[in-house]
Amino acid sequence: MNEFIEAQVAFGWEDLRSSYDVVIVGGGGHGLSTAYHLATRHGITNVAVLERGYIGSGNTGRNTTIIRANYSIPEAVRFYQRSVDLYSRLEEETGRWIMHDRKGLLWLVHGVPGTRNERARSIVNQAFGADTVYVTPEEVGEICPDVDLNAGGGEYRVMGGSYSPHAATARHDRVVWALAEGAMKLGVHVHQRTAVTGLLKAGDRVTGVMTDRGPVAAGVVVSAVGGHVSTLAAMAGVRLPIRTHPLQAFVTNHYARSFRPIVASAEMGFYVSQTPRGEMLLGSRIDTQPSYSYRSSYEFLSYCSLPAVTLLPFLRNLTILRQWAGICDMSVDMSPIMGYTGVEGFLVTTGWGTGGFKGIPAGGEQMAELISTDRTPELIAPFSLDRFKRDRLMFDPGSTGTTH
Amino acid sequence: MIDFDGTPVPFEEGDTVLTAVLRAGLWPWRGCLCAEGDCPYCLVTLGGVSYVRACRTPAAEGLRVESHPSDGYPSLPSSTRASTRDSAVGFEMIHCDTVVIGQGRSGRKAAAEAEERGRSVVALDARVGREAVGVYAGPEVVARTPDGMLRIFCEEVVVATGSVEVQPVCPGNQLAGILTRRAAEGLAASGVDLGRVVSVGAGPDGIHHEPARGRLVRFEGEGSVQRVVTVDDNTGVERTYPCDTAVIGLGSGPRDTLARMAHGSPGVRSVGSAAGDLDRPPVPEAGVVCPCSGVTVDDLRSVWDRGFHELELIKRSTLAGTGPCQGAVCMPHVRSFVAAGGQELPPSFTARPVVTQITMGEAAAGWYHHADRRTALHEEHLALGAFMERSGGWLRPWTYGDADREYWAVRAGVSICDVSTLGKVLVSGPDAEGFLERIYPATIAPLRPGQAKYVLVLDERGYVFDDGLVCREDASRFLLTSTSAGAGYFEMWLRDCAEGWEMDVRILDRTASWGAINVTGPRSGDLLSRLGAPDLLPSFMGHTDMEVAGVACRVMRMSFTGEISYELHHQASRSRELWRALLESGADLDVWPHGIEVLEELRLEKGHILVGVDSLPDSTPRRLGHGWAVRMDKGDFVGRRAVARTSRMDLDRLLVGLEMDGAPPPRGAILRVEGAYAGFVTSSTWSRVLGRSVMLAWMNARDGGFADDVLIDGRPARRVAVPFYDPEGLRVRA
Amino acid sequence: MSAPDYFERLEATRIVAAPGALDEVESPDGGHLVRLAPDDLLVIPPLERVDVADPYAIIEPETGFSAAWFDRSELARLQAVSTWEFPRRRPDFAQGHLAGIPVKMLFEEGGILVLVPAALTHHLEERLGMGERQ
Repeated sequence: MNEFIEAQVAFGWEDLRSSYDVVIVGGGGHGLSTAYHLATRHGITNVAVLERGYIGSGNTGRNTTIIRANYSIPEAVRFYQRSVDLYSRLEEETGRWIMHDRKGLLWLVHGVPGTRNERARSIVNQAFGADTVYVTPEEVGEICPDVDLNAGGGEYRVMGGSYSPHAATARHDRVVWALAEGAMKLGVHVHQRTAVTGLLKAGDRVTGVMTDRGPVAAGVVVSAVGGHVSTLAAMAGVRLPIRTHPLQAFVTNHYARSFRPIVASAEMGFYVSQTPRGEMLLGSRIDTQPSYSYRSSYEFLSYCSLPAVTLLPFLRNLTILRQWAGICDMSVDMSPIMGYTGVEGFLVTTGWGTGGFKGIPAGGEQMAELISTDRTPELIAPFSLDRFKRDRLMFDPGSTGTTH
Repeated sequence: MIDFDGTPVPFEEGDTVLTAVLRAGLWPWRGCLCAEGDCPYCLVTLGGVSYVRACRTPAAEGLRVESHPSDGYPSLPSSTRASTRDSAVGFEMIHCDTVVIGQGRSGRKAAAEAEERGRSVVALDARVGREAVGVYAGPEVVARTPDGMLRIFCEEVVVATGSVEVQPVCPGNQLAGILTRRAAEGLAASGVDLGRVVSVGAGPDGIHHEPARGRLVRFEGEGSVQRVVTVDDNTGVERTYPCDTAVIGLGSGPRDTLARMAHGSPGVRSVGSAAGDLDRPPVPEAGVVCPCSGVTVDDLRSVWDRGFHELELIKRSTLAGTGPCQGAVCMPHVRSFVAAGGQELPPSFTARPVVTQITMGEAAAGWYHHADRRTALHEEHLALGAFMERSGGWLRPWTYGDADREYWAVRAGVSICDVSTLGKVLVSGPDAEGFLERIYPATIAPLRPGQAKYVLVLDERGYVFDDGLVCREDASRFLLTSTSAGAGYFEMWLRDCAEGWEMDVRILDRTASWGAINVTGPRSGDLLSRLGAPDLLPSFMGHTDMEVAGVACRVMRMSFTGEISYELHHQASRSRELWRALLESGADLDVWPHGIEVLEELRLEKGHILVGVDSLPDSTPRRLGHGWAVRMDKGDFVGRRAVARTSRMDLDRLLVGLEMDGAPPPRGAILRVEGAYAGFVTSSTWSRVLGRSVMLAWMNARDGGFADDVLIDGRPARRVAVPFYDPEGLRVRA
Repeated sequence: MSAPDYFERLEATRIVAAPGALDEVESPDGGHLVRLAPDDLLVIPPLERVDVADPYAIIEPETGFSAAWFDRSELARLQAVSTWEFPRRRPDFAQGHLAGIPVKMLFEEGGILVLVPAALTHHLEERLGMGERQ
């Protein structure tokens, strides 16, 4: 018997109506979280989430499910820590098991400059609510005895790192389903296999969407699309400073659970955790060439495995089960873009890069508040689209796409 | 003998572990064995590696085989094993025209045809240990062979992997003693005694068996199958067939994972039964559908009834098809189940690599860690006891072990530093001056031959992405320097600009070809005069060509350390000779090299920024306090429009110099003004010469201005003008 | 002896000039002209005197590469660590990676001259399993 078989969630699918107060394009984590928070926090339930495939079929269902707030700039630490907190309450709130597991994250460095950066990270984290601490190699060894501190010969010996006890993982699909079910229970419509093909406009104002099942009028259209967001935004006349890069991952077969933390090395280019089912889940940096491709490469298996088996020698004997790719919308400053676009009736939540899964609860909560109050909440004000015009970019060395 | 869970098992030539174990009368595996590498039932642990298929493992003398735990997953291997280098696994890349995967009838035919057409062919076949791992874009086929990993780059891939037999789904299908038809035929031929055989569906050839009439309902038995139960759908009457072994002939479907993995890429095609149709199994009614994830038909019904109506949603909610057999067992049945819900037979799950489960050690074979570059002086640094550190893609001496000695050699005597890693680019041509005027925000035209100038490099957004020097050689030729980390990008960017602007310039990167040694300290002139002609030494921000210790050098007088400095650029082939001459000749001056650690202290005392350390990716010259390095009273240059636009906005933050008593706060330490966050430290050091801590920090504007006094870790710090040390620059000009 | 023990620093001349002017440069006796790019020429061994019909030509001694000669019997071994297929024509020139290290290769009838950036030489030696340097 498999305890991981989803046994609780029940969806209530409804027919597509011709008009909603809010139409959210994209049935991934952010779209559904926005709908969920509109319904649960603000009583706004005349809402439709339109999904081209099945819910969670985009990057939400392809990411490596790490939840962390150990960013390097105050604005990002605050935002992601809010998301960390919301995630830790999501099971209680929805009554659904999302396999939330607080594992702690070891972020290793292999040189003196790296140790300075990790000290800096721990300082800004603590100042803005995240519990990251700097750790010595000895402390690394205590937290994760499997790490070969000498890295097989010294070239990449562990010089230190940071440790974030708050870091967790959750099952991506279950997050999607818990949010979708929670929103649907309160009357939100979720429509799968409903592709948005255009935007309805009155003058400059966006008044709805055209779908392959007909037009749908909307008081507000929210783009929570991953991947082809630039195309949708262009229909509204909005230019987004975004490029899309593939991001690959792989899992090994299942092993009895005994590997506790998430271990990452941005310098060597990999991170690893053990899933609740016992697979070791590995990822690396984004592919350097922009692309919308979901194709995997063998080189990825090689360049991700080498540093992993060097630092964690026991991984050498694990057999690889499956690899896959997702795509990341990277904004110019690697930080998300949330809120107003300058076009009336059209909002975006995008540019999630490698941080999309982490940001699902807080991103949805804040977008819902913005829609409900028609004011940008303070927590996401730094991430609004007009920051590029105002020259107030949110570059964060902790989200440069190297490690997730 | 092989050792199977402690039991000695004899084997014959050509046996797999599966064959030998079954012939010995053991049957340690539950479920319907396929003996062809598809099902997940015969997995064993071998030499510390789990998830190895017994049916794909040749029996060999002394082989120790352990079965997987019956309740749960194998343990993670021990972490105490010392790591070894990856050379243990063989690795090779080959190139050919055609790869044929599978050497059954259709595969052999495809290979022969390709050879007739004069194509070079590589044939793979899992049955002889040449297993395809995946088909990737290219096309590229990766295989595991007895010699190690093989990456094959080709023009054409023929997937001739045959078919997979359909597995039974009904109660009791997880009992031992069940075989697919082909498995039974092969095992019987190898001398495995199957006892009393009852067949379901198409019966096996060459084996005495009793065919079970009717539709399969369940298997019965304790641990292993003892009875096959069928039903006559017309009468509803069940029939029971006692047996030792049940053999299942329910048809087959294409073994097409490799072909589907290629996503219809050109150059990849299937032939034979790999291109055939699925014998669609009946809609499953009860029993285990997915043995890997323990999913039953009831589980499928349960999620279906709660709205999981897509094949992928069913897979994700039950995890059917996500185990080691990658859906080989369950997929036909799950597809049938979905189709019964009123939908068409859905296409198979997405096929993802890998199909042969290689270890991470095998995947790492043939790959290398990042290749850090070494300067020509690498061995010299090691000989002096240097601790080397990765920096900007190079290995550089961090310290020679005594920072105090290194520091005072610079401030009070003479020191040398390997700065070979600096970016160095020659630009020549009729448009060279005009080109550089467009590249840099500084004016270039007034620069005379033999003079140098500090410059920032901006991107189109007006943000600083590099800095360096421009040295003019003559009217039409310049040497540009850049940061070590930025050198590669800088040179590419120059070429792109020259091409885009259609300017007549020649560009040659000298970064790796020229070594550079900085001779610095109040006595640097003394040292150089011993090795060359003292009256030829250039004045501050000048450069000249001369021999030093017999080595042709471009000598550039500038300063990053705050003391008189001569940078000696020379052919990298002469670096060691020059380095040794400097050390030997300056022995009585106590010349001693300094590493990057001390260099960062020295430059910080002078308030020099390190691009990438003190700057952020959106640092405008104004934010860096380097507005002076931008001349708006010249023609167009990269970033000019952005600078003009942003300079009209309020300055929101500024890189400032701070000093405080006591120990330096670390990089990242937070500035507070009246308790509120006001910025953070980017570089800090205890200044040995000044006797206080100095730092650069980003400070946020407050009410349109910048505070003079801040608290860092509760201690007061003052904003001061930079440089901290020798603000008039008297020492560098002396 | 077909496999070299190690790479040695190459002495050559590098000329960046108008493509037409480079076409006129003559090969030194027994040496090589390696056209790295239309405007970029490597001359092995170095030239004493260079006449290039481009007043703006950059002509520099080049010591930024290491070189080793591999007998043609070594070809398969080098090919086995290369993702790209070597040319079959002789003589020919190609640039790519060997064992992940960027190289320039001159294919001659008798073998291959491999050039590697000097700063990466030790990596290539290690990856090709070449002997320890004295």
